[in-house]
This record gives sequence, C-alpha cells and structure tokens, in this order.
Amino acid sequence: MIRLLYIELLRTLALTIRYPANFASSLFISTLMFYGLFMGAQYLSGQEVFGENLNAMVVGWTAWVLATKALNKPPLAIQAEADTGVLESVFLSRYKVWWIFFCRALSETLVDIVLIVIMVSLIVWLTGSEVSFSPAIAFPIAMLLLAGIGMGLIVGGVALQVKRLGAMLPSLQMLLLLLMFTPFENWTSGADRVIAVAAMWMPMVPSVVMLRGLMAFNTPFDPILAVYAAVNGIVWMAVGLIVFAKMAQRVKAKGLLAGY
Amino acid sequence: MEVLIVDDLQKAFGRNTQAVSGVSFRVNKGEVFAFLGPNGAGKTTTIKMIAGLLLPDEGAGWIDGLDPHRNPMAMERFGAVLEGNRNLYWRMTAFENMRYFGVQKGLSQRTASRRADALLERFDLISKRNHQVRSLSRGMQQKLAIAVALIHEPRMLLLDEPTLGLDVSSSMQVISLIRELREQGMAIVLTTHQLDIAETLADRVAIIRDGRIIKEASKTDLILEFTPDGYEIELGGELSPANRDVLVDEFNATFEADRICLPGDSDHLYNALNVIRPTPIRSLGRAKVDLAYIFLQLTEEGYRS
Repeated sequence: MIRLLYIELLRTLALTIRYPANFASSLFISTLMFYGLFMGAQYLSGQEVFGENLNAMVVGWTAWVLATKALNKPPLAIQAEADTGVLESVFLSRYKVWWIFFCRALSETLVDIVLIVIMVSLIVWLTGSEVSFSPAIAFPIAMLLLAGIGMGLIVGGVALQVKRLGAMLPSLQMLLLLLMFTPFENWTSGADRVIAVAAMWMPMVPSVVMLRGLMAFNTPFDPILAVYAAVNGIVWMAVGLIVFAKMAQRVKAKGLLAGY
Repeated sequence: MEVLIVDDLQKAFGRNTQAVSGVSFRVNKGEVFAFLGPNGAGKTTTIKMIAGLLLPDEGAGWIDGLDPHRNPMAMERFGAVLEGNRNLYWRMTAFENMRYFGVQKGLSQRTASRRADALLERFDLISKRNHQVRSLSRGMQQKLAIAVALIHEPRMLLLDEPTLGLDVSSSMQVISLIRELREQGMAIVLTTHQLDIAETLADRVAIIRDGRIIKEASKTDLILEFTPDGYEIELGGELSPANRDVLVDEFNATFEADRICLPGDSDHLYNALNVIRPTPIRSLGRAKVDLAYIFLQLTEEGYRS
C-alpha cells in the first residue's frame, strides 16, 4: 500500500510539474481567480473579506475545490487512459485495480492540497491579510475528502464501462453543490427535519455541516456530529471502492477495457 | 518445462459472437510460440484472457501454475506488450515509465529504478532515459515497451504484434531482442500478421480461425507436412522444346520461368535429370513452402469449405 501510494505520488508530481511554464501559469491564473472570488464577495456583501471572513471563505473554497477535483479526476483520467490504451497496462498490475485508483486519488488530493496551500499563501502575501484555523477543521475536511474520493471512484467505475462521462460531470457538480451548500442543520422541524436526518447519509453532508459550524458559526467541536462525519466518510469511501471493484470485474467480463 | 498452460478457453460477446471456442495449448521455457490467424480470428481475445484482462466464459490459462484471474501473483510471472503503440505514459520519461510499471509489478522503488537503468542500457536506450516517451521514435517506443514488460524479470512474455508499424531496422532490432530472450529461457507467445517474422522466430506455431485452433505443430513439422514431394530445378540455359515436352508429359513437371517443379521421389529426379542433360543446372533442391503459404492454405481452405 505504502509502496503503491509512493509511486502514484511520484507519478502525480511528475505529471503536474512536467511543463514548468504551464504549471506556473496555471497556478498564477488559479490564484488570480481565487483573488477575484474574494474581491467579488467583498463587492457583493459590502463587507471587508480580507479580515475575519477570509478564514471561512478559504476553508469553504478549499473544501469545494478538493471535493470537485476528487469527483472529476478519476473519470477523466480513466477516459484519457482508455483513449490512449494505457489503461490496459495499468490493469496488468499485480495490485488490485481499485487499490491503484484509490492510491491515485489520495496522491492527487495530497498534491492538490499542497497547490492550494501555495495559492492561499500567495493571496495572504499579496493582500497582507492573515488566516488562522482551528486544528479541529482538519477532521471534517479529511472526512469530506474520503467521501469525495468514494464518489470519484463510483463515477470512475461508471467511466470504466462507458468511457465518456464529460457531459455528465457538470450535473454531478451541481448535485455536489446542492449537498454542500444546503443548510440542513437549520432544518429542525416537521418534514424538513426528516429530510435533514436522511441527508446525513448523503455523501459529505455531515462533514460540511460540521465544517460550517466550526468556521462560520464558531460552534464547538461536536463529537456526535464528528461520528456522523466519520461514518459518512468511511462508508462512502468503502462504497466507492466496492463499486469500482465490481465495475472493473464487469469490464473484464464484458471485454470493455480497451475502449479506444 | 511448461510455463504456460491454456486449457479450453472460451469467450462469447453477446449471444451471437463466439470469439474463442475451446482454445488449448502449452508453451515451454525457451520457446517462441507463434499464435497466428486472420483478423478477427480470436488471437487478441485469447492473449487478453491469458493476461487477465478479459474474463473467460470457460477454461483458464495458468502461468507457472497460477491463474491471473484468481491469483495476483500470476501477474508477476509474465510481461505483456499489447497491440498498439500506447502501452506507456507518453508524458512520462522512459525511466519514469519503467520505474512506475516496475512497482506496479511488485518491485520496490529502489529495485525498479536499478533494473530500469540496467534495461535501458541493455536496450540501447540509456541516452533517452530522461526523454518523454512521446518524443521517442516508434521503434524506440516499442523497445521501451518490451523493456517495461521485462523489468520484473518474468518467466513469460506476451507479444501482440510487436513489429507492427516498425521500419525494417527497428523490426530487426526487435527480432534480435526476442531471439536473445528466448536463448535466455524466456517463454514467448507471439501474435503477428507478419508471417515472415513468425517464420524467423517461431519454434512452434498455432493457427486460429473463427475462434478455434485449426493447426498446432512445431514449425519444422508444419513446413514438412505441407512441403510437396518433389524438387525444384533452376536451369542455367535453354531446354530444347522436345525435352520440355517429355518432362511435362512423362514426368508431370511444371515450368515457372527458368525453374522446373518436379513432383515425385529421387528415382523420378534421376530419370528427369537424364532428360535435362546437358542443359546446365544452376540450382537443385527440395520444393519449399513458407509459413505464408501454409497459413493461406489452412485459412482459405476453411473459408472455401
């Protein structure tokens, strides 16, 4: 597992910085977009974003970016590798293919986190602001990423079968947006409450609710919500792994692997 | 010693397409087994079932006694170069590809790196170590794909069209590599449409048509079986019309330019030579057939019937 994770990390790093000029310019553009997002929020709200509110925005933006990347990367990578034919070479590994793609998702998430840290540091440096986070937010973010990786593996498993999922991914992102930004924690009465309880089993919802509480409302660390977030993250990751493994087996049975 | 045992492989796609029906064969250590057939005959489907990429409906393939569909250790026992030119990551360097796929085959990163350098040196690719695969020539890419397939020191190599699209020089290099590997004791399963290459390399040959093996034999036995009883005589001068008629009428000889094809045994030959005398003879030998002739005989005969 460690060996596989390490080589996937090396591969991800190699491909990320393969073209240094391209890497630097995309980092610069992403930082500008991030900066523009804050300026836009400041303009719309009429409040100073580069102060207390920066912390909440950074965390919210980071969670959103990491979750969408975790969702999008496996299907897009599978599509690209099926196009070029290298997917079959990966399936010749002595490791289970779902382990490979799980390690890939983990290593890509790690690299994405590093890139986001670089971008946030640039913003802080450019604006002269400061950001400070409670270490407690690491827990819901980690659980959110586990669920996000699980979702990515489910969509990746479907991509193994059908290869082309580009048109479907924006719809999934909308669904993700709905799950992440619906304030389920405020739905406390009648039918709303039933929906809110059910939503706790939807991917990432308890982690997002917890993160919102910690960052936006300064609520203390809720151990019960933390258990919900942990169960949710682990269950969705496990579902993702199982679905991916089943889909890989089905692809081998149907001869759909070489879909280029 | 058998490295690969393929037993009764069967695969259907949908209800009407039986791609492979009851394919069985064995491949020994230090042997090149040429698996030949026309397009759509079931070669690649068979290779992919052996490699664990396609689940058979029935039957199995065992590499060193291990079934790749049941035992992941089997994946360490063979290397594969599949059809097409994209077995590798094109944006990664030659070295990065070798190290990556080495670890995927169970090596530690350190061992994979060490062997990668050794193989790049051996395959004359060390100068391209840090070049991206996409910048290499087609021949170099194919040599690299073979090197990647060998990094974990497998017992068997599956080569699906390894010389497809290569120029003469690159083909010769790949042929020479395959020979070298065979001499080192590697079992090699080779599929190709280039029958001259199959004839050059193969120790044994199987011909598949419509998903079934219609012929399997050692190359020598196969060629002997299809070689007609008779001789070919190349003349160094003009034969008189009278003698020509005698050869046609009495010896059932046929003429192709300066060459006489003479059926029959050696007594028949001696008698014919008396008719040919004193016309000079440039060469004389047993009638020969090549693998392409045999392949066409077997495959077209099937379609005719």
